Amino acid sequence: MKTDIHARFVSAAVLTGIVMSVLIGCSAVQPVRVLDKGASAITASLGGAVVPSSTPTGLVPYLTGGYAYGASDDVTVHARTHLTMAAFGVAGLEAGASVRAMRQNQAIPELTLGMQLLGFVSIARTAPARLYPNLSANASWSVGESSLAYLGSHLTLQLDPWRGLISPFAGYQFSVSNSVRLQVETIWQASNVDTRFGVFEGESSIGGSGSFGIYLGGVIAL
Amino acid sequence: MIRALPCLIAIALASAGCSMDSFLFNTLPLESYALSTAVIPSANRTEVTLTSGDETLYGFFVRQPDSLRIEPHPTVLYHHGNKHNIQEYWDRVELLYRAGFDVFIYDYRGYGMSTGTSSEDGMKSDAAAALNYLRSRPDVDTSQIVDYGYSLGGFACLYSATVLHRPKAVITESIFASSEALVQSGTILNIPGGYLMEGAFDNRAQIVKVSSPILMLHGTGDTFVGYEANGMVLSALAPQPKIIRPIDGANHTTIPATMGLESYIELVTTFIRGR
Repeated sequence: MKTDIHARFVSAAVLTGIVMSVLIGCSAVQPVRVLDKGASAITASLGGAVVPSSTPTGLVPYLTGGYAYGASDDVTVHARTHLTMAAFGVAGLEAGASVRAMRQNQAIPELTLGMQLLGFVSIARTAPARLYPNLSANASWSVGESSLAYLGSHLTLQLDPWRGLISPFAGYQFSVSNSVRLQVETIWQASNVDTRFGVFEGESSIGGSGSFGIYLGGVIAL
Repeated sequence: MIRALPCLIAIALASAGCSMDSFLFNTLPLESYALSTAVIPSANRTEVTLTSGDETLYGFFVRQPDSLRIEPHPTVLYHHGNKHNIQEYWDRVELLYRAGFDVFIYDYRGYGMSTGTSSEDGMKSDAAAALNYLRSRPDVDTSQIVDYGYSLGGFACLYSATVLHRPKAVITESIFASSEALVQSGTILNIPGGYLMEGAFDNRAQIVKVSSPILMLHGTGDTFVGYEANGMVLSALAPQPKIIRPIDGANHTTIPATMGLESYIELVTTFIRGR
């Protein structure tokens, strides 16, 4: 019986967490810094809202996969697909670009600005399409020879009715080989939204606002 | 990799078919119920088992002492919300008991000790089983049954009040307009409900068919089932006679507390007894 209760709870938490994750449109910020001109990489992100009341504490498995290409020394274009949503018959795609606004200079971090457009279309059911612009900015510092510490924020926009969601994040990216980098990112999704009575009834909120999430990311240089 | 992306999408879409209807059903199964006896003595409640399709449902019939029964004696059929089980709503039963009514509350399939898995169709069947139970009791005046729906229970309530019978009165509290309205108001962005849910839970379509007097309560501060997208929409659609009571400052769960418990009891009592 206990197992059954746990399974039911986890199932509900996972499903509701998917909503929270997709609606905020977040996954690990990628690329943290722009790629060199002509370089390309596969990106992946897995994570989402933390469900502290489950045992062990649950992470919502929201999965994205994508591709990034260095269009110039300071501009990287990228695209990503939301694979978890596809299980619901919804095609979720995003495309955008990241721009290096400032190079790191000693303790002054490198500043990277990002713009993405997220689009969702239901394949399995009749439902209208949705578009959500997303802006991001992050400051990153080199730590040693092959690691980055970074922090920043997303601003995800809903167009009708107008609404802006602010999601600050902080993360750490490190190399595991010449071509593979991993990252761990924590994020306070929709930090400006009262979520005490939302999908988790405040269980993943911070002080009743937003949702605390953790993402694991990977970048494979091609 | 660019060529691989469409393949990944195609593979994922091929596995499409999940839905989030279980989003609505925040069940908590139990092996036994632990209910307070502070307001309702054990002698005044009866644990009941019902059959709904292939499932066994559990409920509690709460009966006023004979010395306090006033004829005609209304019975409230309480359709509870989506959280856990009867225990979560026992304080509401106590309020209705304090107001002088008999009350029957039941767990939908998958909730509490009730067997099965929750679903939209299952709720319809369960509401019918609950109503049939009340009809089977010789001490229940079937012309005096009041359907009361809280939150998710609004769906069972309106189904009961429009398809199963014509109740003496209907009370709705914090109910949603449809699954789409709920997804949008309960989450963050304006995502279509159809992305994630099969069931329509379309209370908009049902409420226009209500032919009994209806009292509609909704907190203006409800951030789970937003008032503007749900309560206001349904209030406008409900036929007369209707009493619309937006409760300033109340959220999804606090209408009685925000009103004041005595004011809440007086409102409900006046509405039901005055019919």
